[in-house]
Amino acid sequence: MARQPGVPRPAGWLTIGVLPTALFLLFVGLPFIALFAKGAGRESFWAALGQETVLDALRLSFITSGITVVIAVAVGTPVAYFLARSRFRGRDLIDALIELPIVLPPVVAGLGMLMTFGREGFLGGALDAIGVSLPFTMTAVVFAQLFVGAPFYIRSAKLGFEAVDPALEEMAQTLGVSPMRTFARVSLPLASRALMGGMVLCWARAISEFGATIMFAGNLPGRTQTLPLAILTALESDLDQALALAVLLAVIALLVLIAVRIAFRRSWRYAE
Amino acid sequence: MRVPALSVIFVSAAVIFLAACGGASGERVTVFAASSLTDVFRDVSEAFEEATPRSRVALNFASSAALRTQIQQGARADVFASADTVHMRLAEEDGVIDGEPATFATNRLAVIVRQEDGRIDSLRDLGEQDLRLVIAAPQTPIGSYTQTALQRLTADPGYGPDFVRRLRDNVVSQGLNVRHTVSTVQLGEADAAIAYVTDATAASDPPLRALPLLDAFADVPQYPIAVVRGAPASDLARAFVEFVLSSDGRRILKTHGFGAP
Repeated sequence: MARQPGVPRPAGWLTIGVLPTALFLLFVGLPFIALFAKGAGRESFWAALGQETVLDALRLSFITSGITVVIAVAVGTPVAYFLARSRFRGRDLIDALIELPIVLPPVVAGLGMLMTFGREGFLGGALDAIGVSLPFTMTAVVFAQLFVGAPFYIRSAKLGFEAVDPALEEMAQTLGVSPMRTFARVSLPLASRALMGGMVLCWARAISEFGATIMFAGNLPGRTQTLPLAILTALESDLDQALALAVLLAVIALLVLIAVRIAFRRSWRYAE
Repeated sequence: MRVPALSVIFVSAAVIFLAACGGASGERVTVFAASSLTDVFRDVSEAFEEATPRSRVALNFASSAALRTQIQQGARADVFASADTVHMRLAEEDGVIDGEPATFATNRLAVIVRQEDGRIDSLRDLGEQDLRLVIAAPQTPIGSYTQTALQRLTADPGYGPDFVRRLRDNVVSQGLNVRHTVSTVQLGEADAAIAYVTDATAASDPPLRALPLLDAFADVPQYPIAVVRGAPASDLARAFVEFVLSSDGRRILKTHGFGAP
């Protein structure tokens, strides 16, 4: 991409960042290179990927993480906007509560959800009365992913909305544009970069979710066994299959991250 | 005199480090043991430490497969105690075992339920509708014993494929190891689990019951133990293995419900 006018060339002192960047790339990159070398280099690689449980896990991971992102965006966007625009006592507390799952180990989230929605949980009796049982279902997988993933979206979206100048929204409204339309035509596009970033983080967290899922949704191939669970299960007997699955997950994640980046760049060009 | 903050931090760090080393006296033996041995090996280690002056035992519990992988990938282990002969043999074939493994205990398969739960008193009840059953993933030792038992039940005229299909339909999750499998019953999310008879103790909360209903169909799980090749504390490792095989070790294993080899 051509350098934008007005942005100065990097100053000489920026080169002090080169060595740390290289070191960090090595630190992050080597384990991936090792995974690829040891995983994809084996003859059993493709055979391991073709197994039914692998395809099941792949499908389930995509479906559940997709649903998670849709729900997170549908519910999380109003939450983020509300938190970004309103000032009231206790807002910091609500902020902290919404971000709590980011800090907690996911196993804690899983335990918490069992204690809430489980058979002997807070709401277990009420749910049972209407014939609903959540643990060990695909819904439970989505719950687990939503619990740990949605806070990433809300946090990012909130920061995005906060960066939108309220004066612009007010201006649109004084021109007679309805609040709903103002939100859709002014606030959303201006915050879109943050919203997209939040969606990627949320999706990434959802597809790699493990701890809360195993606690709350269990581990049944074809029903609740997502890719990360399949990797750990495979590790119980077959390092080859575990490595193959690990490579698969890493490749998918890398492709999605690259695709999102390219899509981003396109949309910025259109915006400009 | 002003003491620089940094030196205070260094000195405290050094003190904590030395304390963490346990006074640096005594030798430490690291034991990698199958998760079904969790309770009994804690007791065995305590007795071993008492009987062996200046010794300390560090225990690492996981499924036998995970432990074998860790050892093969160079984890610092002195002793490997597996829940089946398969993983011990694979470790031997990979050349990470020193000498001949010795079988030190046997176990039995059982249906684990909550103490107060009276719904299951025969194997047939595992095929009842609306029963939530958890078995271990077939990749684990307990999971592979379970699959063998289910195959024999399929072939048995008294039970047959229909019964096993109903039983499999009741399976809501597959545990990653035996402890994880049993924990679902403990949490009340599952009604029954297929695990080892030693996994249900009246002391657990809530109390669990083991129903040994699978003896006629299951293999007898064997527990081999061996010293790891290149063990950093090989003498102490040998002493530990000997202790497990001794009459003292046997006695502790027996109180936890394990059978003699």
